[in-house]
Amino acid sequence: MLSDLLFRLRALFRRSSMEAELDSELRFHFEHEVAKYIGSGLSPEEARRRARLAFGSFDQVHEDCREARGVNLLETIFQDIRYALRILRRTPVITAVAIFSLALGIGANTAIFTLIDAVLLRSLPLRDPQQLVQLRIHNRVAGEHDTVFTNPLWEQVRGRQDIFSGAVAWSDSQFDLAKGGAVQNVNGVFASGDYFNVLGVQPVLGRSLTPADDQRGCPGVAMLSYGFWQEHFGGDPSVIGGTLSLDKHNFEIIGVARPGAFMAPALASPRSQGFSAVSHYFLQP
Amino acid sequence: MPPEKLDLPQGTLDLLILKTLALEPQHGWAISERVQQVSKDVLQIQQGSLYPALHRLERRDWIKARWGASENNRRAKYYELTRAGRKQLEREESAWRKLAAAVAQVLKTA
Repeated sequence: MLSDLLFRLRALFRRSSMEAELDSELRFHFEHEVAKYIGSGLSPEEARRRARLAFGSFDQVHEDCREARGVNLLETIFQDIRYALRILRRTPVITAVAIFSLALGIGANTAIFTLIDAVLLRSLPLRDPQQLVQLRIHNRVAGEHDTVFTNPLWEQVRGRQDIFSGAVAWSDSQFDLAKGGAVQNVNGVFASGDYFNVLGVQPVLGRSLTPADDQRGCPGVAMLSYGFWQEHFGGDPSVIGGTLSLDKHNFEIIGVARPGAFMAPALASPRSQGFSAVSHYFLQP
Repeated sequence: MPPEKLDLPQGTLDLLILKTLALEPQHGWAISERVQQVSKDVLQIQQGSLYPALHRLERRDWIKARWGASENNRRAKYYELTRAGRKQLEREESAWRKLAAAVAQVLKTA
């Protein structure tokens, strides 16, 4: 199959040399034929006449050989393409409009698919994302569903629920990294102690948050997202055990989450030191 | 009175060419001469079908061509069997023998 294609292509691109070869081959044949007739006693003129008669049309042989080499199909395709290009060039405005609308259509489709893919098709990069549910409070007075819980409410939910395998709370926030001077805000979340265990996000370095890091009055600890670690610490492994200043409180850095983990904000910090009062809840059955 | 000439049945031209080339590499004219001689002038290959057939066989990788000097020292294109061509010849030969024997059998008895 491949050798067949190579043969065809060679036949196509070395066309003139192949035609010349065929020509000299046919002439060779023709002259032998003439010599044979002369040998049998015919005059040279008569011999040539007979040979030409026997030979038929040179052009027809050429044509049949092209056919046999499989050039014709390829040649016809190339001719069609050239013809199409000529026509397109003759009507530049229509061509431009056609290309533009094609480009627009393809671009729009790609953009929409990218969005659909991210929102609908791809699931959260967590363990068993299909089992996650979000808990809401129904506010009868306002007639609204609320995902914001107060801390005492969260503690009740966490301590008393027995239908899910785990419960986590988190709240996105902004932290000021600067120890003084200009404010340097980064996005981050407060997360409950079980956050990483329940969602199945492994650390690549150090350890994850544990419930022990999420007690009233315990020292605050921080976990870095992979991207934040790379960006602010150049991926230095010795950051573990160091401190990070968030809103002018010192937090010990305990670990780095794996890349791509569902942790869009840069930091996670347990609720302590009088931080979080409100949280969202994810529960996992 | 020359013997009656027969038209070649479909597909036998390839077989004849392959068989002729199995002995030694030859150029186109020698192939047609040899077939004519061996068949005592019953079979004649027309140039118009010989050269397209050679190109077709070359494309199928059953024969390959190279330029060489002919007996009277002229440049001629010589064809020779490839390994695949030899296999193909065996296949076609046995198929032809079976076919010929079967046709003969039917003609004898039916």
